[in-house]
Amino acid sequence: MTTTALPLATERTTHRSGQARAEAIVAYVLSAPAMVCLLGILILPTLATVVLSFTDWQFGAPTLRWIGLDNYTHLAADRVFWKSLGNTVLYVAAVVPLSVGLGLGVALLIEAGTSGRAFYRAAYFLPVTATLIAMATVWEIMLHPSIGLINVTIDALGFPKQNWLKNPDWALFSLACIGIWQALGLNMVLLLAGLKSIPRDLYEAAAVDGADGPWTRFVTVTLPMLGPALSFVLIISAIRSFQVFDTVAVLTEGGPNKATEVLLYTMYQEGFSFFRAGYAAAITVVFLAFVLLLTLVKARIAEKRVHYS
Amino acid sequence: MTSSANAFQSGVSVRSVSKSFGQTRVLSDISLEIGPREFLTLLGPSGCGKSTLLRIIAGLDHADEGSIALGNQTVDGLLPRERDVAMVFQSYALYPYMTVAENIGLPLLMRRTRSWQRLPLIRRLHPVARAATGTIARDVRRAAEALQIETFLDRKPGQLSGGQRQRVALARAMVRNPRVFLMDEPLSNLDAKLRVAARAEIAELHRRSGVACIYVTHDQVEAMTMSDRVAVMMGGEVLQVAPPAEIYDRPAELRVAEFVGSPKINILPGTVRSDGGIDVPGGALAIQSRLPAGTAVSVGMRPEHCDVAPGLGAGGIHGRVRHRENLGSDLFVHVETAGEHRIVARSVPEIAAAVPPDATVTLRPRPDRALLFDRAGRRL
Repeated sequence: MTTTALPLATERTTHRSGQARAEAIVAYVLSAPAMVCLLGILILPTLATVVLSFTDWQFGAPTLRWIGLDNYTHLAADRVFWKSLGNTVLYVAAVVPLSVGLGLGVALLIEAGTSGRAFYRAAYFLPVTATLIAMATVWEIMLHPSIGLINVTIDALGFPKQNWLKNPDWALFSLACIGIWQALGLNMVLLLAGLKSIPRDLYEAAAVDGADGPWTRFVTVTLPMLGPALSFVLIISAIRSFQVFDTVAVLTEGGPNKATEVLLYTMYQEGFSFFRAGYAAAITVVFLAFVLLLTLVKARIAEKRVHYS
Repeated sequence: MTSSANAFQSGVSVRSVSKSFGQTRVLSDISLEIGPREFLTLLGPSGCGKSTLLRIIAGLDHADEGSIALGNQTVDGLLPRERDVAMVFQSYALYPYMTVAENIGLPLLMRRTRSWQRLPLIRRLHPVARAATGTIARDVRRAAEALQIETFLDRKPGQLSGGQRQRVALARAMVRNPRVFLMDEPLSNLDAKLRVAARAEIAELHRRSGVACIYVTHDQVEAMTMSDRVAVMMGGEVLQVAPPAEIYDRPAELRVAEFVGSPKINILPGTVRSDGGIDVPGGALAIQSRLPAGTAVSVGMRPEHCDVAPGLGAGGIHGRVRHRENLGSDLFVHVETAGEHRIVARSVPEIAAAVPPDATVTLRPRPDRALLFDRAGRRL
């Protein structure tokens, strides 16, 4: 390296290609740690999973055999897998609209209010910061059929008690409610940030233009301006609820009678209870395909969205 | 929607309006009368309260005391929509997700249709909504043609240049026949060249519309070139309301004189002599002030009212040239007089050679154009 500015400038003009090559090398060196990490913890394991899904490897076994698409044909005929996939989709279909809708509602209320903003923000955000396993245990007590707060309340109001987690009709519903409770806070915070970034001018222009009723203002200004934030929240909610696992593992273990069997839990059982690692890998590949699909949808939406400069 | 007949009757009355934000008083007891077809500019430095006053007139802010009337109607407590005003924002506040046509048409859509008629399917099928859509499209086109943006109607604001966006904002205001146009520094985001063109255009559009216009700016050139009258505001007060020429020639206060005019007016401390003339640092002014001898005054002289002559002449103010600015059409000579007072005088570029830096010169202010202010800054 040269120490003064002037020789550096002449060097640039005379050895442009050499300079460019040096710059490229520096760029690769600087990004190498990130690249290595990305390869080591993301790309290689994913590839390994895909490869494993074509084998009959058993967890811990010294040998494995290439069996082609056998795992996948097996999956296609596996009733537990289909039940698990159906449950997962149902769970996502309940949690995403409700956690986003309620998150938006709470965000709008907090943004519209003048007092206690920080308190409400913190209160709704608390479930996000808490450990879900621990919270699941709290929910388990709340949902306890005889001493749980929820049943006691329902009983006091004169409605029939339910065995929330043991009744096949209610178990998935109960888990979805916990999922909504948990996801709402993060959605609210993200949407609050989106709401804050809407210029006040736009609301004022809308007021002058005559769009001043709460509903009209919402559909004329808030919703379209919130579009990017909302689509982001929708997609990450979908991906996160697709990954539902903790509550199932702690509260229901997929029961009763597979009523709460979800994709990741099936994968976990196949891989770590039954040690059928190859088969679990195939389930993981299906799971990854869904997540990839959602990510592509998100990318498409992000592409379409209009930037205002 | 308003009938255009309405527009001809209404002016704006601002009656004893005061406003504070917390402990900060931003408007104190402002009263203004704006004529039905008048173009009034609120001129002042930033933070003088001019935008707040405009927002109070629009109904976007509320006065602590006082009242606003549009035409014969007191509008305090009415929503902006009910006040029937049109506003152009400094940021233009265009809806980025709507096309230009939708932006311009929104005020009409909101006034000519009901909320349920704007639902996607009904808007296409319901006869009233469909008819409204047709008339709105026609009015939008007319407004767009007046501002020569009809070729951009299908674009989004993000695809337009600053000048084009500004026109869309104007079109959105002018598509209706409001009682008053409110403009909050609409040209401040444009480059200098566009600003000159837009100045003339807004003034022209205002003349054609025949509706009162209140225009907020900190740019004295805009105020001087566009307005029927200018209200100079400072520190939450209106210092003077008068036509531009009067603001310039007969400022009510020293602060007005100093704010309006470029280069700034020259101010020298002076003392009245027994013969009515005024002693200033470096010389004297040969005027008849009719003030008691010994009165301390501030003498204001516009650069164009000071003649410069090389050498030490009889009478006038003597000083030394410190700096010259040749603009091609004018030559500004910066002269330092006794007591390190600086005076800028406008002259013709031809004398540049005769007044080099450090040369001694004589300034002869035109006695009839000298402005005298008392200690408190009021003009005498």
